[in-house]
Amino acid sequence: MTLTHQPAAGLASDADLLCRAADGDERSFRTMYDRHVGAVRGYALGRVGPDAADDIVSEAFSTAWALAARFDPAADSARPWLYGIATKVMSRHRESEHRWMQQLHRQIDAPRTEVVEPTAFELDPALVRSIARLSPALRDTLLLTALGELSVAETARALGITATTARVRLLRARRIVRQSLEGATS
Amino acid sequence: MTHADERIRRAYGPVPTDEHDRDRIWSEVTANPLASRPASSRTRAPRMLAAIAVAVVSIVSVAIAQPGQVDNMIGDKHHADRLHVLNEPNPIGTEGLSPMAGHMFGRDTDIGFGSVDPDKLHKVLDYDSGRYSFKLRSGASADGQACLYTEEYDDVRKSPRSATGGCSLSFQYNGHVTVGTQHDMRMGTLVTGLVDDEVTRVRVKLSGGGVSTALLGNNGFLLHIPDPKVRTRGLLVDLKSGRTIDVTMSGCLRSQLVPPRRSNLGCGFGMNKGPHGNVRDFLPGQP
Repeated sequence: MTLTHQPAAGLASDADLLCRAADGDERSFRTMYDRHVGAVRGYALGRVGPDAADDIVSEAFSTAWALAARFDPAADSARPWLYGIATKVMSRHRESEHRWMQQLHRQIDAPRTEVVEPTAFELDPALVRSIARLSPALRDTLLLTALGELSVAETARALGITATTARVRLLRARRIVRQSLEGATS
Repeated sequence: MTHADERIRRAYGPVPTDEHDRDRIWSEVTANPLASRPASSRTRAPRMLAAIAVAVVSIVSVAIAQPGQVDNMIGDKHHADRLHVLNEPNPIGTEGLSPMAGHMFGRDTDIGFGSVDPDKLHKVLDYDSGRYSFKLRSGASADGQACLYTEEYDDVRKSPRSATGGCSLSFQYNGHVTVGTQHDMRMGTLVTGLVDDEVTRVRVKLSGGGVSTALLGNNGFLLHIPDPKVRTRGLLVDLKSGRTIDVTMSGCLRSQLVPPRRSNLGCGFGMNKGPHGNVRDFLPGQP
């Protein structure tokens, strides 16, 4: 009789879970999902608002499951990878993002006496204005780098662009946001 | 990490998601056909995995999203499925091209020619006519168009005398070919384009009734017509099925072609952007 030791799903690494998920183990993927759904949802909420966020989250996790076999087994966490997938999914929902930004601007500009619809998004007016000034490509690069704490090379890989392009985009995005935030402070 | 990064992480960071929400989203995850994978998938050959990955990337625009009117109009064929070169694993990138290529691609845009990743360019063909030489490369734009980049050299300059490019949605509309021409009074006319995997031969119809066969490369073609007085009239595109497609081309204006020695200005006819409005099929041998 051979005894094999396999850690409980709750203790397993993301790489282990995704490896098993690629073999069709739904429970393992669910464990990985439970770990990161809040993070991916927060990202989606910030970018497209509550109306479209959950659709994007479910699409991102469906795609992640389909691509589970491609997950880098050496990676510590699946979160940056999931952010990358969510970013790709969101690139097909630019309209939702645009509508959400308009709604946020209306909320920021509304007179204090006016009752506005509360949102789950923690409103940072200066940041909202700064991010809105970025093109979608710059926005993807900056948010992915900042949220996923990715290196330039990792961001480039996640977005399917060259490292040089990612570096240039990141520099431009940071400059625009810094200028915008400084302008808001002064 | 910068101050802005911290604010981004606060604003876009994780949100509490209760069990009810988690279960609700999970039911959508499992309902998505993308998520249902056979248990034996990891034991399949790597080639199969690669094919699945390519298929997932290719159909992501159609399968993941709710199909909209545009998706229905385009159909289920992505251009990359129709040009095998765009799916080949080893792109040549900008190798052998002038630095000009680096300025034309990888721009800050999500659409069109500028969005082509220069590292993912594929070689269509190189052609040297003696006095002039040409390098053709293909790539996919971020919004799914098939794009062609051409560098043209003469025997004098080391840098290219022109670098041009364009993208086309033709393949998404089930077209088989895109075509563009460049003309100037020194070089003559250059006819280039991309073709899908169904195409076996491309001939160019010339003014005066002549027909010249183009050089066919990797999902693309080229014909250099050195005589600047000769004009292009159209294409005859032979398919594997035995059909021939007759494509009528417009081209440079007469006034741009006529005055020899008076102008070195070039003119061009861009790649067709939509379905061929003037395509007619006819049987082989039929005029």
